[in-house]
Amino acid sequence: MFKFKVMLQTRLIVLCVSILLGGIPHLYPQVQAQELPSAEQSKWITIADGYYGYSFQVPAAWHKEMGVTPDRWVFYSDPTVVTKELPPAALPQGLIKIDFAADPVGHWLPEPKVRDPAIDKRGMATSEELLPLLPPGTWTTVSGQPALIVREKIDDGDGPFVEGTSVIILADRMIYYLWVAYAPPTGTNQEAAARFKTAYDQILSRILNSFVISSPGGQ
Amino acid sequence: MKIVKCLLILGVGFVLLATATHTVIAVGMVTELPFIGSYNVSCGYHTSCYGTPTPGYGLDFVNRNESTYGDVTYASGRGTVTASGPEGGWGYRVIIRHPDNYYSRYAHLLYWFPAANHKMREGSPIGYMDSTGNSTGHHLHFQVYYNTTSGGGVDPTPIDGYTQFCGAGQTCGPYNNYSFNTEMRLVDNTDGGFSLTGTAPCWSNTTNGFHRDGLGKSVTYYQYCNGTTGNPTRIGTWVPSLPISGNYHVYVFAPNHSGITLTGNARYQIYSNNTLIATISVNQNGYNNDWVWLGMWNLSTSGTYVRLTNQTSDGQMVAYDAIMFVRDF
Repeated sequence: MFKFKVMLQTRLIVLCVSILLGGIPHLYPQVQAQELPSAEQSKWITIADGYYGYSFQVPAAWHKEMGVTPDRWVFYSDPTVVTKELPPAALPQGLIKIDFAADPVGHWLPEPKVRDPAIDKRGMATSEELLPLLPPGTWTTVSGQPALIVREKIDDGDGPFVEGTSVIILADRMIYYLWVAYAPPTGTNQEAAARFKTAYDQILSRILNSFVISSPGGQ
Repeated sequence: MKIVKCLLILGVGFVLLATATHTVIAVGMVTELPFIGSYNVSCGYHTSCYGTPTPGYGLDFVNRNESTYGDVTYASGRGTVTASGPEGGWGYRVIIRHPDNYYSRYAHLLYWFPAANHKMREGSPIGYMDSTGNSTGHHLHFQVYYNTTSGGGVDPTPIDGYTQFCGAGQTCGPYNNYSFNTEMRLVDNTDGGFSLTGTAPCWSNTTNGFHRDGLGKSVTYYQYCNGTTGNPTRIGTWVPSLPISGNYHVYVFAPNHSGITLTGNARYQIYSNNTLIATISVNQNGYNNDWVWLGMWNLSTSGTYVRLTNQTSDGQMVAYDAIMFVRDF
């Protein structure tokens, strides 16, 4: 009986403190695993900016959010995700997220001991000299430019298990970066999870196939 | 009865909140909170914070008074940047190695300012906060390590009356910081130490660039003026109040210039004892909210300033943003 009372008191304290401080992670609603439509089934729209010289497509139904300038975008497959009080520190299961950045090459300065810092850090080097130290990956071509694809399973960041693909496109004067990631759905059978992964692969492929680089302005 | 108890607990909580005024943390040379203002920890000690938090010493900070998006994050101790840019689930992040082999990580940023090898001191601005990488909400993930940058890290214990931040996955705060104990000096274009004289037309960029208030505010992030290949018709001057004479790393902030073509040849003139000691050219188009290193120079507490005219070889616009002086260590 005493133990039960202590337990009740503890729960009450936790509840009060969580009300006070905005809730603890366990009290946040969870995003339910969803069935993603395939790339063919989705309606797509074009995201483009002439100054930064890029154009690519994303599913029209996704949440789309530009940074303060068009060099930054974020996309979520669930358009309601930003209205749910999810814990801010990880992708919920069954969600695809895309981070996009377009930067002049100087924003990607090399790692230590790779290049001559006396040249690189003043922005007077050529783009070839400024190539960053890139992680191991697979080289391909996106819109006629060399692109590095790095696939990863995240177990060291914020989140228990996320599969992500980084795409680094090295254009003449700009570097375009895409991080396309998803947390596999839980609570579904293996077939549904496999379908989700297939839809993710198709969506990633369609985005990269739609990517067009034009001459950026301001260079 | 339960409601009364709840109100009582809330009342005690408010009293505790009102009296909590942390300004420093203690982990080797990681001594300062990585922000200015009043923040809560939205997820206490963790490596992962979804569902049941994975043990570790990462802390998620969120602004208590407004959106965290675009807030400035600052170096929490002096050290050398070992990595900056994207890293998978960490989003855009900066990692600083401190002289005592502690490391600090600042993750999920919108922009990262310094490059690898740059030396920063306490309070050097190193990025704008966001939610990039494995995250859906705006926050700063701050983590301290020893001798490595993997694993759960080490405990960044707050001092000033508290033995530790809140428990794994829990929320707590506020944690306040309004200044840094530092031998870094920053002069922004909106500070009293900056002047812009002359007659060439100039404009203010109120969208992007550097400002201590962060992005998304109605402030002047930088000014930009018509350039000329003839005699200068505008002169910008940054005058720092250096704490001591000595060697300083001088950095100029090359701002985001969305929609504006800037000069590829901005000539920064560095003076000490009112004597010109160096002229460094910077391609202002080549960056996007970056600290650009102008070298390390021996600077005096008197007669030190940096000058930038609108005279360029290409006649394009010249941007005037912040300049940072970091005493060498």
